[in-house]
Amino acid sequence: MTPSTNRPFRRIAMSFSPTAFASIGLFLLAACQTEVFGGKDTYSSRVETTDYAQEKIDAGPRKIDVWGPGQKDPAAEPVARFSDAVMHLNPKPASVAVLPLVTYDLRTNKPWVSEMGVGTADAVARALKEQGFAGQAFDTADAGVRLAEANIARSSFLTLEQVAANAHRLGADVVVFGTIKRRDRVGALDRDVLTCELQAYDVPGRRIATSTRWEIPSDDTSYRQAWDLAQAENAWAGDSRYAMPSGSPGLAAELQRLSDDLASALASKIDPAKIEGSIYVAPLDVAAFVPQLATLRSAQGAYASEISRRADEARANNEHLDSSGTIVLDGTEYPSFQAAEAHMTKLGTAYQATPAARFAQSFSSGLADALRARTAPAGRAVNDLAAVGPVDRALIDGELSQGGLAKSFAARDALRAGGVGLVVAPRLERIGDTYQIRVDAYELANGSLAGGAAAPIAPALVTELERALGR
Amino acid sequence: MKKIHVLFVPLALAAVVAACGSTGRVKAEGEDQLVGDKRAGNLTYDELVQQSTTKLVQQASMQARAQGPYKVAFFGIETKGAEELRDQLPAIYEQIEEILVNSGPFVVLSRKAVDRARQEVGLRDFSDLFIAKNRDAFTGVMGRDSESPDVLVYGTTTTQTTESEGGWFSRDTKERRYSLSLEMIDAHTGTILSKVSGKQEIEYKK
Repeated sequence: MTPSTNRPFRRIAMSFSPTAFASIGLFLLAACQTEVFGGKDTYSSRVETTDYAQEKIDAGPRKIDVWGPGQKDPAAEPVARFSDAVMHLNPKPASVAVLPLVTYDLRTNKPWVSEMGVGTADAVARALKEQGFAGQAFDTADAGVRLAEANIARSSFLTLEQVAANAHRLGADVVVFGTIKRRDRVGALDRDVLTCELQAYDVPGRRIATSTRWEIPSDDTSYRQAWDLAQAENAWAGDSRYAMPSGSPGLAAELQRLSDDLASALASKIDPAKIEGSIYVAPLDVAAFVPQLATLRSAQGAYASEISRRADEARANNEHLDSSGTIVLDGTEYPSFQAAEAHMTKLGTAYQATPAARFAQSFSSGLADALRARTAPAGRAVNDLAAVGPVDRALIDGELSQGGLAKSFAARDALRAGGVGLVVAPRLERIGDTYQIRVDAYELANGSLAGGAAAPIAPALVTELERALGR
Repeated sequence: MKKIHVLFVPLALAAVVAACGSTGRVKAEGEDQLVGDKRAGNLTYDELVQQSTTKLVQQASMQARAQGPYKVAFFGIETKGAEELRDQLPAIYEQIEEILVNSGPFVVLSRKAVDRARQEVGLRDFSDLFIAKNRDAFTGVMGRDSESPDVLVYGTTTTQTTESEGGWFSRDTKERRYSLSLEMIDAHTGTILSKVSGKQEIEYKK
């Protein structure tokens, strides 16, 4: 054995012939490259993709989508027609307040005010002025100011019902209100329509005096500008995204307004010159809401009733009032009038310690101020009964609480003796969820009800009112 | 002669080892693309995206409207085919979004915003958006009134397979049809405004 044959590798190599080597190589190559023993990578033509971004770059700088010429104002003709109709209303309005058109769009969860809504409303006010409207035409800015003065939030004018409920506060004869309703897919999948409507609400007549409507379809590109304005929010509405600080209604301002309204209403019904004496403005009666006051008024009522009975009896017998003997108040017998008065004083003290008592007194002070201004130069509205004795005061309070002042001669006599000619008795009432203040005016000379008025408190302020009453 | 034979073996082995090494090269533009032998690859998905998105853009080329271009929210693709899309999925998203942004009469809302809005509203599945209250919540988060999407674009990938088993002298063959369908959904009603698809079939042998 040669040394070379001792090497295993060489031995193996030597055992194959060159032909065998070539065959194995070719076989392996074929196996890899053909489909006999597996696959071969396959290639296919590349997908021709369009490079849209590059096409845009090649097309030059991106053009901004401008409105271009040929844009129309869809509201021009309806506004002219509408303002003409308002001008010729019968009876002729002395003042017209125009509120923005409110957009109702199901995409949003509440009504909102668009640029187009404000623009169209201002166009109405402008058209009225241009057509020579003799009265006052308030545009949206003026109306906003008046709403603040009237202590109403702008958002309380977003539906026709709210407009109807609050229109009298604006102080205008006609309130113009409108809506823009968006309807999607009208007639075609990609056709949306804005339906606009303008309405003139006749405040004294409580009716829609005139109205007009028009449509703005989206398939007419000459309305692009109109659509743009209709989709842009205006800052007019108080709760818009602009979060503009706006006057929010408060109870103090509301009570001031109520006092003014009630005083005006009373002043129109009574003749100050005929009042013999001063005007006594009683504290606001809140007995329905304050248990302490209810107890006090009940005792005062019983006391007043007993005093009146004895006074009438004494008058019939031509004697002095008999103030001796027992008296029963609220089921409890008191040995004397003095004891009964002491009990009422205790009740009165308990009531005076409540927030409701201070609230009632401050409202009456405001009402007295308002009355004083309106009954000038007579101007004799007073808040206290300084000249009336304690017994009579209890009698008067009792009769007032029971609405018996007109028929109670004793109470009237006591007041007249104190120099009072007219009693104004305000009362807080609740009807359902609505609060209102009613004012009755009693003329003491003949014991008749001289006049009355009532004014509701805005529902938004009820919570604050209840806090003020300590509830 | 023997010496040559002795040298041939290491040379052949060296050649085999060299053939097994990794290489990379830049493919020329227009050069043919590799077709996957077991699953679809770039070629297939490029074709599907190209076909379906272009069709969608063409079909949805609605007439110019006064309220401005349509606002489109592309909110994804659901994989219902036999193959996982792996790294194809994000690439497909990007390609579809790019075509929508650059070719159609649309304003495309960012997919990041769309995804975030879906999280915000608590929608896990695409199908949740077909409940009106979810859609309202989603469009509400996306934007108020004129900013919310008009149209939602939604895709589905599917496959269909036909298999033939080979005999002694023929190989197993599998034909698979890949499709990507895209639909435009009215964001306010949930109805389908248009639906298109792209298809490609591949034959696999083993």
